[in-house]
Amino acid sequence: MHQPPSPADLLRTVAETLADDVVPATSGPAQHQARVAANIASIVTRELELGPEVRSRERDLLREIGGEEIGDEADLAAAVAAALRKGSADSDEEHERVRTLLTQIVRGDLSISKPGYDDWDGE
Amino acid sequence: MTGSDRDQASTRLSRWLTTETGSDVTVADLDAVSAGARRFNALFTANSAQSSTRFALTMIPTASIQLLDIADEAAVRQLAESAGVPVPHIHHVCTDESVLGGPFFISIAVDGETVPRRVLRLIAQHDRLGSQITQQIGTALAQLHSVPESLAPRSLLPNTGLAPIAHAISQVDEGLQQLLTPSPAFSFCARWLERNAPTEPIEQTIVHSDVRNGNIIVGADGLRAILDWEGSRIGDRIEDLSWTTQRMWRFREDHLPIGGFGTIADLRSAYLEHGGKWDDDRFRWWRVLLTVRWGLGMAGQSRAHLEGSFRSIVMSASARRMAELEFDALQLLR
Repeated sequence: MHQPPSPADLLRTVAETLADDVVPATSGPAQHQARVAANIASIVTRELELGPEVRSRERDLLREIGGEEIGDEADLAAAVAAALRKGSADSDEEHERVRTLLTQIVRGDLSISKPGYDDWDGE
Repeated sequence: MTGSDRDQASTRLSRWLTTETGSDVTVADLDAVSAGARRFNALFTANSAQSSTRFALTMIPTASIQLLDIADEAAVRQLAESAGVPVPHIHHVCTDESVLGGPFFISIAVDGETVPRRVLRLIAQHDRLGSQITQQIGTALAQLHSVPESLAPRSLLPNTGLAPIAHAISQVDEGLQQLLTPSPAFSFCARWLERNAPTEPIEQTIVHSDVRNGNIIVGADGLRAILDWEGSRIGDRIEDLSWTTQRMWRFREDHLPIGGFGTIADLRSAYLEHGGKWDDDRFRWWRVLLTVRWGLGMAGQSRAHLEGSFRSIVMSASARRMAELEFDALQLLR
């Protein structure tokens, strides 16, 4: 085992270096790429830290959407996606229940890829 | 573009313009403004004995995927212009790829802001400017949609041969099948889109398909031009109206759904006033459809990166943005 820093700590340092040192020192396409690279490093840092919890919560939510018929399918997301596409949530009641649960799953993904993006509640 | 590339392009362009116009033209101050995968855009000055004019050059690199033949794109822009849409006037079209390494056209350069955040900054400094630009977009779209579809080049028809609504739904299903991991959120949306599909439009129109904050030139006096006509197609007019409301083009100014500067009410009233037709249900349906399609497109960019057909750090991260579109689509289905 390596001594700390952890992979997340190291990657956070990469993100900080890119954002704080490389971006201000560059211009044009190189600056744009450095900014994107900093953002990717931040996303992956959060994914390393929050990923396991987000994925576990996602599995619970998928089971809640799929109900008993889904059971312990190996690929829960594929099974739920296929059922939804075929119309498993067509009734008004199911539509709103499933939409709410799906929104919770997506909020989990956004906590990694774009924190704060989920502060909009439509019009 | 390196200095010698620039000198060579200027020389070739000078020679071509001299032949084309029949008088001596010298190209100066050629500046690349953007070089995407599909487009190369530059500004230059054409000096002749009579005048000195600033032009914009739009070139399609030969190797790239061409959405629309450059002559057809020029034809659409001319149709739009004659209907009253503000479009930079095209002066020359060249389909000979040997001149600059790809077909190109030359239009008049229009001053103003195009970068979305700068557009928003300008609008914030002028009272009512956002509302004015929104109404001008509504008017321009009504004018574009008034062009008889029969005048448009036939290459604008969808390649599936399907009517617009059926075509859009089939694209979503195709995108879902191509995902490397499933999206329950988009599968849910696809079912809703299928069940709530509007009837096919009785009358199809030319659709620009990418009118948004980022493809417009604006100044303190309002909308000056609509750019980037390469995605033009024949389709359902409402698609153009719905696309302007994408949350991505608002830069978090969510209280103003049109590009972060305007309201749907302003867009709608100007569109109707200039002869457009509006349908709230169809408008909402297209908003959902376009949100899903854009999200699937994001995943497609990362697939192209992974498969090696277009390696790019920007495209590598695109699929991580899909959750944003999943969220927006689910909000629209409340």
